[in-house]
Amino acid sequence: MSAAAGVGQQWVLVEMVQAFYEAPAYHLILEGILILWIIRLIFSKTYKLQERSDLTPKEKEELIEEWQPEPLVPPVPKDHPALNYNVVSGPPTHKITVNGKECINFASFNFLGLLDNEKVKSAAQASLKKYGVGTCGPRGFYGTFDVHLELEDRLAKFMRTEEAIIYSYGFATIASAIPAYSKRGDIVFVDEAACFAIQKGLQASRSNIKLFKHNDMADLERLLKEQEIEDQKNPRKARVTRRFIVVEGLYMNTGDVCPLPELIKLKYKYKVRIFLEESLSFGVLGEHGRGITEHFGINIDDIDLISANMENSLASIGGFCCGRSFIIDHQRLSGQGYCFSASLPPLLAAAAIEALNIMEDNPDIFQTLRAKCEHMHKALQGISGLKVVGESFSPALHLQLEDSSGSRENDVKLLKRVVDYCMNSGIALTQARYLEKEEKCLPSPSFLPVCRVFSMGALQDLHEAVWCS
Amino acid sequence: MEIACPINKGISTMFTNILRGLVPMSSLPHALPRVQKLPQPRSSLSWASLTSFPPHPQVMYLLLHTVKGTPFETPDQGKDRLLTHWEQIDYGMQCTSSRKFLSISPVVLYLLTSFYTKYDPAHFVINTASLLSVLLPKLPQFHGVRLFGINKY
Repeated sequence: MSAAAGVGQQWVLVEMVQAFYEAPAYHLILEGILILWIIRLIFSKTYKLQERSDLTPKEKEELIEEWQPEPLVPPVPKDHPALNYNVVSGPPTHKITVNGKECINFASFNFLGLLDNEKVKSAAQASLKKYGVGTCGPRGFYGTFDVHLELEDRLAKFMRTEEAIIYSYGFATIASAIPAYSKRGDIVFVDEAACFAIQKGLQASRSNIKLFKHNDMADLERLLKEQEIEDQKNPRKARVTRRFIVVEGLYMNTGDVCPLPELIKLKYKYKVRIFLEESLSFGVLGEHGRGITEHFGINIDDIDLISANMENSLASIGGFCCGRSFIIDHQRLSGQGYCFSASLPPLLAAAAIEALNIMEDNPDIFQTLRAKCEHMHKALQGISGLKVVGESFSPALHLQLEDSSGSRENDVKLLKRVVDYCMNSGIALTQARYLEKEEKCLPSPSFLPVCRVFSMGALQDLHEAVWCS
Repeated sequence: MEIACPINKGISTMFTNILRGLVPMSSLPHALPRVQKLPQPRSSLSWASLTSFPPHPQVMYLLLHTVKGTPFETPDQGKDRLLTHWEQIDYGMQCTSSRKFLSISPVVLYLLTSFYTKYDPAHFVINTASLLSVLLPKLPQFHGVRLFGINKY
């Protein structure tokens, strides 16, 4: 059997070689060309497609000679804020000790007063004894503790969403969440007054950014309509671009709320996803402190992603994102601040859980906070030379100069004098600081009195102090 | 074009010597079906060759030149979302060893097949068309070119 197969094989081979001699010319020529091409390919060098402009050595020398090194420390004026800083000693509670002088604290973003709450402190201390100070790794590499999972669970239940994810730094929360979903070629419509963290997230995402005027729904609709027209011209491209709207619940830079019901209508009309940043409105707005969705009575499933930092109302460090499982789970591998950063220290997670407990047990503190905010807003109204910017129930207001002197530097200097005077009279305020060269739309200089619970009596003092300046 | 997804690096850098990685990996799927067919002295041998040549270029075309982007998230924010696998190999460098191997292997297969089909004209047409369809997209002049807007987005 195998011998017959062997003979058969030989017979076939002879036939093959015979066919080779009788092959048509065009076929053999083509094969010859292919073999020559293979040889050429084997001996070709690798090269890059982009052309680089090659400088001649002389040009390189010229460039090197022209170069002047920049000083390591750029020349700054003597009154630069980085050179004259205030030193705070002791924990920031109702009163804060600045430069040795005890002042009423209008500077910390401690809206619910949970920073010096005994229960929160004892929960943190118990956790410190149990776990030590830090987790020694990111969430994916031995850095996940049960307190993290518990905090995520509790936050998801509190916000009534499917899942939540914790970040260890508040700024990094929204700055990691946006680039996890929005990539090159995608379009993001963002408000002009978005905070710096959002701007950095957008920059990291490399997407096309379209700014619309602050809280101006007509402007946003115009941009969406323009985008729709472009999409109709190129439907195949439109099918692969993702569109997002990024807004804040309570804006850090202006103190007002976004018109969420209109945004939801625009979302469903133009098919865009909404990312809501609730750092200032979490624990402030809404009946139970659930944020702006509760404030406006909107179903939380309408918002695709809610991101907040826990550094304001929850008196902890870090941030969280909550939403549907399908959306939040993506960040477990793509959220850069989640995967590549050490996880939240367990004592802070335990403190946040305790703060959540307090928020859930006493839902009336939110009403108290809003009442105090309104009181403060009214009390600050009549000050000559300053105007109050912000909603009446917003705990973080801005006091801006009514008539600007024209140059930002002079305004900043004047406000600094006001703040110093207040500091001397026993009220600690801060100026709103911006990285002037980095911000997209720089807000006018202002200072931020922050309203907190339990600060009734201080309002009179503040009032008097600012009147006199 | 600076950062390619790891699977392209996988082809070029993880298996730095192509003889160690790419050659066995791609030789095996060709060799296996042919081993059974070779020793059978049938006149239908030529048709057997026909069935074994065109699938290879078609599959190669599909995997290298049709499918775009990466099968997993990359840290470069979707730079290669619109690039095919071939364009992503070695970060867009042309004529690297992996690219040379992948260009030469269909030609070698074509030469073998035309030998086995005894230079039949009908087979010539089909096989040459398959070969051209898989060789043309690999030329450096065709990098990033999308004809008639097919496969652009």
